[in-house]
Amino acid sequence: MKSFFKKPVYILFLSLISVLTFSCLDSGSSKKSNDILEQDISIPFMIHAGSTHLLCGVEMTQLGSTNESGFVKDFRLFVHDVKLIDENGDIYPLELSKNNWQTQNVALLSFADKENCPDIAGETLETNLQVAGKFSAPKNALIKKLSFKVGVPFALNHEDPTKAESPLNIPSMAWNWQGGYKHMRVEAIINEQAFLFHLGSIGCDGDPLSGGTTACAHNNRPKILVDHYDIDLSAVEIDFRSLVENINVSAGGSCHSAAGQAAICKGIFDSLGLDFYDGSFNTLEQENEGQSVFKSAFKHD
Amino acid sequence: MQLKPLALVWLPFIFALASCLPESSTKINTGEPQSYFNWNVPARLPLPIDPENNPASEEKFQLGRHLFYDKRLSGNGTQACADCHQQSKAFSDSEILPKGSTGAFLDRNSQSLVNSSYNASYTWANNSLVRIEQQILIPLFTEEPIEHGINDFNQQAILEQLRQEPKYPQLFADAFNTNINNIDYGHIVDAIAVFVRGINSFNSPYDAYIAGDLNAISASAKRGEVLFFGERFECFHCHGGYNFSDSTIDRTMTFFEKPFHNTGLYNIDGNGAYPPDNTGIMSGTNLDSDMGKFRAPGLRNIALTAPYTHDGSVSSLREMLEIYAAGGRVIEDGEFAGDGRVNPFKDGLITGFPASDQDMEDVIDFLNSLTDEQLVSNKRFSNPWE
Repeated sequence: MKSFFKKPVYILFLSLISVLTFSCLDSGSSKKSNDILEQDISIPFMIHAGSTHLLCGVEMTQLGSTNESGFVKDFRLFVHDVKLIDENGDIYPLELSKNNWQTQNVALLSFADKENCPDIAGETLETNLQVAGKFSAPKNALIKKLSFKVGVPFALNHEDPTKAESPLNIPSMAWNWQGGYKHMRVEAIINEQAFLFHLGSIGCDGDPLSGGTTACAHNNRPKILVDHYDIDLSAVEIDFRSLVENINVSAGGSCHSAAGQAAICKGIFDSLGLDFYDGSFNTLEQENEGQSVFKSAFKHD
Repeated sequence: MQLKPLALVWLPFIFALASCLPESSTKINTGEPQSYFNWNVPARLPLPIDPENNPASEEKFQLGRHLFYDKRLSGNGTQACADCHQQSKAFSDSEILPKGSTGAFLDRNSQSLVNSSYNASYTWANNSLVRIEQQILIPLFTEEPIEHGINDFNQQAILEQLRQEPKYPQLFADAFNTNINNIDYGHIVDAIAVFVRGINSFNSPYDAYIAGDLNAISASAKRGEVLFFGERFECFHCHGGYNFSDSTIDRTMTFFEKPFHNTGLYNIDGNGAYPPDNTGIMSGTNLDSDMGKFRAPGLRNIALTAPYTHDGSVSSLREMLEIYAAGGRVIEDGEFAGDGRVNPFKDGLITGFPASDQDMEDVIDFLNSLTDEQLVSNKRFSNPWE
């Protein structure tokens, strides 16, 4: 202890304390510069099959390696960690507003609408076609790109869904066998057969002492970068055709992100820029931006 | 240590720093051999973990007991937890594979719930499920296959049905201090979890025997005990301890193990494959070496819980012992044909052993001495609607 108070170390320590102390004060509320503009925006999302804007009941064509046709039944995904990126590469996080579709900076997008096709969709939830929030950026910043991650972040993914706020309390988006959520849920009828894709973290490991989840072997949260994004003009288009372009869906198919389903899973994971398990134990968040499913498009008015 | 005056000036900042660190909410539940809750656990044994976020109470237990036996807690009003977890069968059923509320077969055999409060993990093979609360979500909400069949569309109607039941307003109020109009699935899951966590029983003839009543079990069962705990049969490695499972945890433990084992039941492709819907923890971990690994179930009341193994494919204790004696199972024909004895992922202790007819009968008599008649007749665990 004596040597600790020798001058150089002491001063270093004090400056560290002071830096930490001030840096953890809330910096967002007090900063008011003329150059910084806080903006409310909503980012529209839509699902397509090629050039066809999909609504429930609209036929999709040219699906998979054998050019099948089909209809969407359910298309929902969580997104989080939404960021806007300007021409200089500066990054502005979007703070999501809180509503029935968004909580704790996670949003649920939902595309299958029961009004248009009750016969195909059966009972579905309401639709939510946008992510809404605010960000602060210099007035003259020119936003060029959008990035986000698909899924529920680890810190929220393993909480009890029966005690969570909407949309994290929707039973059909829970992924209870891994104590988490389905990051993405896509169901369709293709060539008159059931097609199902549920993306979620797997290989999750629980601690029986604390009761918590410590880690997942395969997080399966695709990181998406959308180029050519304009906050006034653009929407994010999610392309069903790209999702299944690498696989044969002539007999439908089923992927729960799990081992033994590589025939369907691997090609979809490739499209999302995710590595499907190939024998290695991978605990890293996916950083691959080589996805082909999400892209920028003109928004519809 | 004496602080210099200058250092004192900085103290408030140090406290300010400490106050903006995230609060730690992890507290490990150790010690506390006593509890006001009736765990039905004898003083000689440690108590199960009582999670901080859902501590047991008699009121939750009683509410959970009503819900456990209530068929209204299903999509079509036809299935209660108790349908597949029957008290007379140590809270299992006699089916090879149980059926959900819409008639779909499940992939795995119904497990006994007795003393499951001590499980290090839940279901037959899952690394991620470490609390009963997590497991309960699966039968209630799962879609493939449908079990209770609660979903986005019927969940509110089911809650409304429960609100109409005259007994529930008081039961929910007592358990959670909540108005019946404000109940949700969080309350329901927590209450059922406390009921299940409270289904403990250690009153078999074998318990009496080890407590000093030397006549509580037969001479054959005593010989079987020696074989069970001996190095020829090797049963105790996976089925040891007070709950006869190596996947056991209690509140006195600082370290835990969550083991899973491949016992050589299948070898479909010669490379160790189990049937595609039943690959054990591999379905979650995706690791080839996890093929066919399942949790060793506790053996208490095992005589009441036939058929056996994860898929109910073994009909009797004798058949199970024969498989272990052979060092695995050979399936001659059919889609699952293969020699499980040479499954490359088989546990190193499943090597086979010579055993006489008498040895087998003795071990079975020992296993029969683990049946707890007080459990199956205990009113505390019975259907409160009858």
